[in-house]
Amino acid sequence: MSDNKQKVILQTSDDEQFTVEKIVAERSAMIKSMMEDLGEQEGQAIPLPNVSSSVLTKILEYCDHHKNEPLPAADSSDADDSRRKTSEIGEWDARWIQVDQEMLFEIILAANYLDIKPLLDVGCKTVANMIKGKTPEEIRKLFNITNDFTPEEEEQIRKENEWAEE
Amino acid sequence: MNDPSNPFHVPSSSSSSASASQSLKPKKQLLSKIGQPSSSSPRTELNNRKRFGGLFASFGLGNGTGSPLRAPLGTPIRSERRHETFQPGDDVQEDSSGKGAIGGVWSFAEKMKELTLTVGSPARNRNKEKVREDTDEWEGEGLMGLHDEILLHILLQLPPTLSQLHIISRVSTRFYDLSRTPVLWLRIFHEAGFDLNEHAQQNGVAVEYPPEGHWEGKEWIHRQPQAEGSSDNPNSNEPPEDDTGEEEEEEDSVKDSTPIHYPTLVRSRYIVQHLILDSDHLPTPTRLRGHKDVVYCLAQWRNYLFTGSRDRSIRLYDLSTGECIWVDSEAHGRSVLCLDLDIDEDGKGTLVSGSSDMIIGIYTIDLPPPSLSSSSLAVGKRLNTIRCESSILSIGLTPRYLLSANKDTKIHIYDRKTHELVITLEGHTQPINSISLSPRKDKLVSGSGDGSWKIWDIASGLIEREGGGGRGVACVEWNHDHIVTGDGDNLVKLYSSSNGQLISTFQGHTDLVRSVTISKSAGVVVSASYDKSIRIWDIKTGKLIKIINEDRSSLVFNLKMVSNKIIA
Repeated sequence: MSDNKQKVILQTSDDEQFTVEKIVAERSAMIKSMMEDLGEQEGQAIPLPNVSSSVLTKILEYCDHHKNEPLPAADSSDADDSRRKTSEIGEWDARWIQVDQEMLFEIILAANYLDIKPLLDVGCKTVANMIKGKTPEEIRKLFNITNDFTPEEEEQIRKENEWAEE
Repeated sequence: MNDPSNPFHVPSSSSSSASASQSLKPKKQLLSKIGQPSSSSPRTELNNRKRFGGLFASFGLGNGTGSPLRAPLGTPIRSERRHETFQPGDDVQEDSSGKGAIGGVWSFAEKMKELTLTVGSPARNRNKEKVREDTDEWEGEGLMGLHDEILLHILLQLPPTLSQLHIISRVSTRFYDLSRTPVLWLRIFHEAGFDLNEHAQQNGVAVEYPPEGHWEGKEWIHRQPQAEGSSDNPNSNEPPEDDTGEEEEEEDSVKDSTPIHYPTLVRSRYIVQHLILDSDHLPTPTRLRGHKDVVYCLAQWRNYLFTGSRDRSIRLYDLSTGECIWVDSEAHGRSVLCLDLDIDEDGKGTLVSGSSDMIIGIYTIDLPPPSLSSSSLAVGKRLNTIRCESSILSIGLTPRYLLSANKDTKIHIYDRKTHELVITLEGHTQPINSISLSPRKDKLVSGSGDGSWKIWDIASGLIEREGGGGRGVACVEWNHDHIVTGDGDNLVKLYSSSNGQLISTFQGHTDLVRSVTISKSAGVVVSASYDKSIRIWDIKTGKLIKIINEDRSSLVFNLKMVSNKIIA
């Protein structure tokens, strides 16, 4: 019981320190294994050189909300990705992730770095939902991607794809 | 940016001076590291390409053999520079994140590792960029600033359809390259209900380079037919060539260590499926000649077809040439009624035949490799015979047993090694016309003239389930979790093998249904009847898709839909 109330100090790239419940911090498999490696050292801050305080604030909201859910199996292999059903984003998560693109991508990067799989999924699904149903041109516009195909390449890809579009 | 929880914590480091006016700073830093002048958004993509040049190579497109579009850019620069620009801590960081969505699926995990190292820099730079306010510029980097592993993770969340993937492939060169990733195609492949055959499941390795050759309409043209490692489905380049050649996919016919190029495989599967479901497409039959009388039974293995006839002979045809390459003209004293095969990867194995002369013939088979097929003659050798007390109407082989269904209403189970009778299954009250083995070959289903079908556990000899109720089951086939029967009352019925319930009834034949088969992947049931037609039905809707009903002057006795053909 008291274990759950334990606090952990996280230090962001911009030298901000966050004191959070251990159970919240452990949503991050990376932090969890780091704590296991380092052992319990009171007052010792865990450095997160790849996460800024603004992003961490946001992510801690998520971790706090989900702190009582079971952690995903440590080594749930992703090899099954091909068959995995893509589930919907939860209601709370959907509202929580309504952020601008910059924050969204920062969250994804941080989720990847911190190894918070469900969060990475939520982030990626959000981007996927933005892509879904759009034409290539609309996708380029949305994410400011330059069309760098030569006309010949475009033609080649069109040919490659045309068989399925009949 | 508008997030209220973003309090702009300004670190004490040098980047604290960052402001809107310095929005390009991170990119400048990055670019200067690789010796490029700074640039603004029109060149962002180019910069990305420079930065990700090494990545293209890592994705297997850079070796020149496979890149459908272009050779990789800047690979040497990247690999040299990378070590200079990286801080010691980065390796650690990327190690923890590099085990993403695809590591397990790809055979080139090493390259992935390098890849994540290469593209890890955006993550590292992110934290220095956070104070920027120039969102336009940021968004230009945004999605493209994520490394490929994450982009792929995003793509994995999209619906697994071809059209979605095509849209992705047309966004930019980077997306095009990502869209070739095997794992994405694997999803489409499975989503479409396709499956690899056993051999390919064990030996298949997904590759990103297409096989040698090209598509011409619906035909795959092999550049070097003899080349090893053609990963696609050569089935579709063979012209339909059997008695009733109909494209059908079942095996993907990958060979040996079996590279699998999913885009090509998926395409060939779709085309084949399309042909089956297209009611206008009627197969062009190829006739195999040689038998002097009615052909009662068939057994196919890859490109070889064994046939048994009323003329008492067993013949072997090479389906690629249509030639008969082996014959045992005195196989039996009377009609050859049934055949079954158990052949291993090397073409060696056993053929068993059953006849109305009440004898089971057992042959050892040594099929020549395809290239030698026409020259070799010593294909089969009669090993033994088993004498029964009535006609053998249907026969089956499992790894341990030889099963025969007899006119005397019993199923006899013999040991495959000693050929001794192990057990006799009794329960039917009329001759057993047909038996079929479960996918794991531990059970069998029998169909009898008494109108019922029964599932037996082979080891125990007990009846597990039964059903039926027609005028007599003429034929039965077990495929995955389905059992399909053809009845004397002209109906084809589909049952669930797990609970025995009738799923659907296909009505339309005007005479006894003599042979049935299922292709789960194509979603069809095929039936052949004494009404001289072959009908193809949709499993899901129960509707007739088409009738193959050319001027067949004789009855259809046996029909197999293996690989890409219906053979009748």
